[in-house]
Amino acid sequence: MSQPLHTDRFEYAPGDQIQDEIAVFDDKDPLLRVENLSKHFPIYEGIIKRQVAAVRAVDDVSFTVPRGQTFGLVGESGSGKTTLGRSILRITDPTHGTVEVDGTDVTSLSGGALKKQRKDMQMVFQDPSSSLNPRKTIKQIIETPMKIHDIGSAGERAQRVEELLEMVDLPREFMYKYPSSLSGGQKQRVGIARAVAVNPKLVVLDEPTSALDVSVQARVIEILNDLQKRFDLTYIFISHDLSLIKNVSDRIGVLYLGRFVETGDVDSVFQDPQHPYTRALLSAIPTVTDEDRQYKPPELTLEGEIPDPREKPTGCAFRSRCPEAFEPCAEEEPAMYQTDSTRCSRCYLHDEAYQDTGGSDDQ
Amino acid sequence: MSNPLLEVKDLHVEFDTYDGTAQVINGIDLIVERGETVAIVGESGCGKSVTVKTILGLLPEADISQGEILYKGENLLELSDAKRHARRGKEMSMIMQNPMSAINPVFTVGEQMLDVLKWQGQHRVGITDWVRDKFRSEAELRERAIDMLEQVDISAPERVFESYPVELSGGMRQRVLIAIALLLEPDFLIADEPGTALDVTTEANILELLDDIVEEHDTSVLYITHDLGVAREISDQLNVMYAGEIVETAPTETLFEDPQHPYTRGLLESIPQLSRGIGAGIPGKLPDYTDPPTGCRFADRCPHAETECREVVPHLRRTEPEHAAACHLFEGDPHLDRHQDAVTEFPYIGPPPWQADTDETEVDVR
Ligand SMILES: Nc1ncnc2c1ncn2[C@@H]1O[C@H](COP(=O)(O)OP(=O)(O)OP(=O)(O)O)[C@@H](O)[C@H]1O
Ligand SMILES: Nc1ncnc2c1ncn2[C@@H]1O[C@H](COP(=O)(O)OP(=O)(O)OP(=O)(O)O)[C@@H](O)[C@H]1O
Ligand code: SF4
Ligand SMILES: [Mg+2]
Ligand SMILES: [Mg+2]
Repeated sequence: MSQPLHTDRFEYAPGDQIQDEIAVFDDKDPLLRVENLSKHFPIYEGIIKRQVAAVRAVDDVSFTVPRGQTFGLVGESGSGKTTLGRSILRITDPTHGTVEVDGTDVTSLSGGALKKQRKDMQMVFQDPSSSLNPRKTIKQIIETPMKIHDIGSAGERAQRVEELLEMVDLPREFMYKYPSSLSGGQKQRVGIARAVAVNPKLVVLDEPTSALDVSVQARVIEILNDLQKRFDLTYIFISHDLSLIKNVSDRIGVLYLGRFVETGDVDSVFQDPQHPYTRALLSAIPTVTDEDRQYKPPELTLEGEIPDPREKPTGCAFRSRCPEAFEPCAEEEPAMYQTDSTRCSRCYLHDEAYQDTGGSDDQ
Repeated sequence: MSNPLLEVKDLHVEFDTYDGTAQVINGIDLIVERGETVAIVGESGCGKSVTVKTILGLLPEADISQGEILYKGENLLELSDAKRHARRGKEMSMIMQNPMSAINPVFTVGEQMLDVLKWQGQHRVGITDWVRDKFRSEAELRERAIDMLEQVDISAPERVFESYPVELSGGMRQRVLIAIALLLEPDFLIADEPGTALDVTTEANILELLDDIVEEHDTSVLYITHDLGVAREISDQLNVMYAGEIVETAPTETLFEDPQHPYTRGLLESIPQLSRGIGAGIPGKLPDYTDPPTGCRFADRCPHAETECREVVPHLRRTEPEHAAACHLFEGDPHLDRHQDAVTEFPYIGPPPWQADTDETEVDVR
């Protein structure tokens, strides 16, 4: 079922600590390369607005995505998925780190160069209602990126809008409607049409089908797959629906309080999740059939809630909820460990030094 | 049947559009009993939000060409705006589908929650109220608000209380909205896709919270979702909606044991699964509301459609004592009184193929 994609590209010994997270997947010429990316939101207090703390929404995240692939981003509400997506696309300016898209360092761009680069990087926003200008018609909305980047004549653009609407299963009459007369799912599909209008290279899809029923969702996913194949698009796909993530992604990253706790090929992560948090997430997937149940790790319910990102626990950030937590977890944050050729996990259980102490889960 | 909290009868809602009149809601009937949770499921654009917004009177541009909305026996469509406004605040609460447009971006979450606790439901505030509110301690209300945020699984309620909506993640905003709607302990709660931005665990917790509130205050809930799994979890009665009509209605468990309408069955088959990938979905799309089909609105997409389906409207028929479906594959008496006379004209094209081959209720593969 799962075919390790990278088996002989590098050497590893299980349990190796990884110095350079990004080297694990040794992607030659990736479309997206994110290195040590952080986004901190300062918190001010008092009359003089002194900065007292920061929400570390994204904290030192590194990964690469090969051209034409889909990277699935999962994690609880508030774990930093949207902020990571927005920082990658420079919709918000990251606090630290670099992002390279197709060889261009987008974190150092500004002005006209950044504007030009934006054509290649589009986003489907999580809240479709607030991301569509209520005073513009659907045609004007979908056309906007084409206009900004000076693509096509008025006639060509109109035709493209028609094609795009058709593609997302909306009738062409919608061109002249305003967002207020669209249903939630219809607005979401307009957002998808707008994002792919200018043939971008990289698209961040933030919960792109959350308002769609399974039937329309299936078709929208098919269209996205189709576009990906035709134009070699690269996607970052954010969703809290893990069955969906499993079906659309090549590789996934699991975020917890702004940090990756596990990354790897989607099949191996789903078949044998390494990090206790990933296991907890997967064991909560509702399943309909017995076949599906085989995919689920044994029941593992999380105690407590995701901590306040202002006050991350010391040591392992997941420690306060982890059923496996043992001594070293309280001291220092664990590094990423490469657990096999296809993924890595941020947990002391993988450290050889503790194989005997904390190994209650070793299968 | 005795004394339902809400009864919608033969509701028709139309919009004037660029291409003519869109007949979006085409005669729907709904009953919500006291303390009951009723779900409406259906495809994007089928009219779920229009239905609930009409119930609350939030669609000034809509033309309600026919129908009645009886709330505690009173027809809401005949009330004055002021009276409806008052109802909306105190007795009925709604969780809107789009969190960002339902929260005011210029006030903090806390300000909005306190505002709701102090004023909501009081259209014009009298001097006595003003004096009373002056003395109700702010700290007490604040505590209540923070407690509610905690109940909707927000992990840093104090921070969120002080935050502006833009500083919150999508799922946090949605939960803030839920918290605000629950603050007033309404008699009737309408929730329009409240869980779209939430992961399963959080959504499950919120469903549980709703359950508790329903138990405790005997609240009735009308729950809109496109997710059949969620509908199954939360509801007592399930209505499947297609293109502005209710095509199947039954107690939730009955409906899952024996899905009857071809549309319901198509929806069930399209649920993505870990093992078998994303289904193909139901081919085709919703009909154009400005030019709807004359017969069954689902006929163009239905694998079992016959010529009769395109000619005669399939009204809801009672296929089992508590189960009704609007499809010519089934026999039965008209489910609604107003169709009593139409019964003789109903064609019957059944039995449904999935019942003919096996007596299993297994979902067929087209
Ligand atoms: N503009 C902002 N100012 C301050 N804090 C912010 C801002 N934007 C996001 N945050 C905080 O950053 C954290 C991560 O938010 P983010 O929107 O990235 O989460 P998410 O993973 O997308 O969650 P969800 O699944 O709910 O959408 C949250 O704690 C949020 O409150
Ligand atoms: N104000 C309006 N003017 C004209 N048409 C409208 C208006 N509001 C809704 N509609 C149309 O009515 C139909 C039903 O919309 P509604 O918002 O009820 O769908 P929904 O079932 O809630 O879908 P979703 O799951 O996508 O939110 C849609 O085709 C929509 O375009
Ligand atoms: S009435 Fe006919 S077209 Fe409509 S759902 Fe039933 S079989 Fe299909
Ligand atoms: Mg988000
Ligand atoms: Mg809706």
